[in-house]
Amino acid sequence: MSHPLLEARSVRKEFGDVVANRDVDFELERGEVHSILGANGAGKSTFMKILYGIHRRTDGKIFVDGAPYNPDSPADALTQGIGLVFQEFKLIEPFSVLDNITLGLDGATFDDNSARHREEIADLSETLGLGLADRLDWRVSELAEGEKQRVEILKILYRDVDILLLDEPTSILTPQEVDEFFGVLDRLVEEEDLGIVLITHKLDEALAISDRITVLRDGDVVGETTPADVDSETLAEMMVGHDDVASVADHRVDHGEQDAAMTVDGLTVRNARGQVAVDDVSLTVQDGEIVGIVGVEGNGQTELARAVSGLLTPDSGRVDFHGTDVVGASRKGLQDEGLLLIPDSHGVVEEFEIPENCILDDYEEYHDNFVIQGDRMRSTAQRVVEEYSVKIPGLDATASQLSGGNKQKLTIGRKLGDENRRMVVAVNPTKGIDVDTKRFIHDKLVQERNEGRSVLLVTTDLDEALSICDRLAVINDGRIVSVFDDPASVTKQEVGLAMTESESR
Amino acid sequence: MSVSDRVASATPRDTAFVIAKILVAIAIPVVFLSIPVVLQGESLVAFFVKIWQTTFGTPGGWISTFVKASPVFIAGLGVLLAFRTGFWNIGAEGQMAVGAFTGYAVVVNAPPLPSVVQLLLVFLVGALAGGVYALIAGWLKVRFDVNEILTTLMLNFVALLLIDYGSQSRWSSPLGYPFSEAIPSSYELPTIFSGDFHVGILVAFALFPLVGFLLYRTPLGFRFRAIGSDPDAAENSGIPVGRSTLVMVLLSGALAGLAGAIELLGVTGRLQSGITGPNYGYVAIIATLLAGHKLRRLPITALFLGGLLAASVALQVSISGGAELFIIGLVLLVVVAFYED
Repeated sequence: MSHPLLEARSVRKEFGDVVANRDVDFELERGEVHSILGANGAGKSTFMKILYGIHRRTDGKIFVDGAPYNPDSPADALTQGIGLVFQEFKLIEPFSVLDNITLGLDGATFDDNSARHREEIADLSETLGLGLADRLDWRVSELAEGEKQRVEILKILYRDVDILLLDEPTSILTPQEVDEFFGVLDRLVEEEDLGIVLITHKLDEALAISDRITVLRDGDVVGETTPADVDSETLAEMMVGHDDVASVADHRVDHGEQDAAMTVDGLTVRNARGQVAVDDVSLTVQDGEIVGIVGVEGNGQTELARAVSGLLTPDSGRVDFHGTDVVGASRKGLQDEGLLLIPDSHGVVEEFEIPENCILDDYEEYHDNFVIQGDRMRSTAQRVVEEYSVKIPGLDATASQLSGGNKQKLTIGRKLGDENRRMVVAVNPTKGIDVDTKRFIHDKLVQERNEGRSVLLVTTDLDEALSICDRLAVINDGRIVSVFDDPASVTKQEVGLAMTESESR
Repeated sequence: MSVSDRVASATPRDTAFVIAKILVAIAIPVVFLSIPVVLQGESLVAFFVKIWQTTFGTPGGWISTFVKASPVFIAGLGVLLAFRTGFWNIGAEGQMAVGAFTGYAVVVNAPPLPSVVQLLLVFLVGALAGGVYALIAGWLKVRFDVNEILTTLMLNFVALLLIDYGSQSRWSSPLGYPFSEAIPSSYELPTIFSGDFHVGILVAFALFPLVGFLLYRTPLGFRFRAIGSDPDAAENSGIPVGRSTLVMVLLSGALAGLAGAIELLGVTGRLQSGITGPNYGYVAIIATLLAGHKLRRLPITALFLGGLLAASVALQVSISGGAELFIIGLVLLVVVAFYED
């Protein structure tokens, strides 16, 4: 009787009172990609970390090739043939590709083995088509993100694993890099006969690459299926748990001719290293519209958002907000004028309790003779938590105890509670967040628009931009290279090309 | 076992482990302390009885412990405020010295005033000067992003030279000793219980709830804590990070400056190079670190260190001068090694 390559039976993992994995069954055969699909907090990463020996399961059994598998560390998992590529790379940037790959192997750098390693690694890279053979002496810092990921994969595969675990592998890749990456995965399963477990919250990705898909929700397996037997609507429903999966592409409310909320004219901004990050950008956002700024990470969009929201002083140019020049205004000053910022990270103070986080923007309104009004603060927090259905262990929990999606809900909930708001600048508001929360946040932004306020959505997520923006500007190398007045009529490829084409000037 | 597993699975059994660790943390310095005593052929029991008597074992020991703990605590409040705001103020030593220096300048130059007004004036000027002195490093940090650890540390040496100038040149005693003339008796702090327990110690008691209130109950303290926990999040939500840091640095330095002024009027009675005692400004940093940056633990760590300093006489006889600093260093090492928080 033949055994599956990997078999997990009723795996359970508790963290204190929290059950992260309730009763997870999972099977992986050689030569297949089996995706684990789930929203944030569904327990995907926990399960992955159990397989890789980072966490120890509370209960259940795992078998590799039919033999009981109980790794007590990642090193142990590797020797038993299971390797994990983390979402965030664990490479040493100033070291060469070769050194990174051989790091930790016995005597890799200092003896005759190094020539042997070099040869073997180059061969392996050739065989797998990873394109790293001629870059073994490059520093990792000189590589593109997609190449760094291939270094991680090569590093794991050089340790002779049978099972490759990939945690959200495409989150930092451009659309082109994703295609290449899927090509690599295909070769790995077809030619090397590896078993690959792919963790993702992206439906289309799971459908495109998987042989099987297991959907997790709230720590439980909702079902196992194959791309042939399922469509994205059904998958989304399995992940999210209700059938309200209509697209957010809401009908725009026609407010007629609107006033300009923000006019940016000839804005040039330098980044922290003194390089020009935003290069002569002009753009207008009107009341009652969502304008998207879309681009590949690192093309100046962050600096643009920071400059218009009072966090960076531009080199030159004008920013008018409802008719007043606001260059040089502080974040606080702009906030008082009704310009809100939803940042992509550092929205909350991790060590602060939830009520404190709920008054982070307007703590100055929450005092009586310089004594913070604890009761009022708590009731605000209670309202935000209820209105935005933030999942919390208790009101006195710190933000660090919340999942990414719930932190973001808390941030957005407290921001949109501001009665004087006129415009929202949102930077990657749904980055790394589950489908359910993502839709919720999109609804909120669309609602802002429908109520006649303006939204500047700075995002790297093309789908997001196409689904909720009324106008779309593409930023590439600090410049606005194209503007699409009717995002509904453009294709993803068109925008993707504008985002990634070099020498666009 | 991973870190998250460890955190998640804290059980009563771990409590026993923690207690065991505390015992070890005490045992290690005790053992090290015993070695030279034994080598000199003295009685260990007599040695520890002596230490006990000069610290927590007798009323006189308690008073001398309080006298030593008070400047550690007051300056420590300032250090803690800074650390909680993410500003590594290593300069309490210098800020204390500046507080004493300017306090002495007031004593010399102020017109005759009612006694209470005199004392408050010295306190106020000493505190203000300590705060302004700290602002040099604060401003360099906020304006030019200069590392405050370096600047506050270097400014300590400048301030100690200022004390030398004051005590040996500007206001030097005509007898040629390396200290100034004594302050007039009208400036001496009143004492209670015995001759050593000056009212400045009561200031320490009063400041504890005040600083706690500031840090946890006011919008200003809210800002400090937000900046200390996550400066980016603070900035993103419109908290004026630079301005708040300057206000905090002023307060932090003022607390150290006040400690210096109190030391001048309550203990030394003159300007001298040992005005900061056994480097109270640095001991204050150790007190803050031992307290894990937690305000509620600062009184305990300050008393503990005050006790060690009070025991220094006994230690000096049996071992050598400066032995108390050796112990403090050892305790710090053990605590840092054992407690990551």
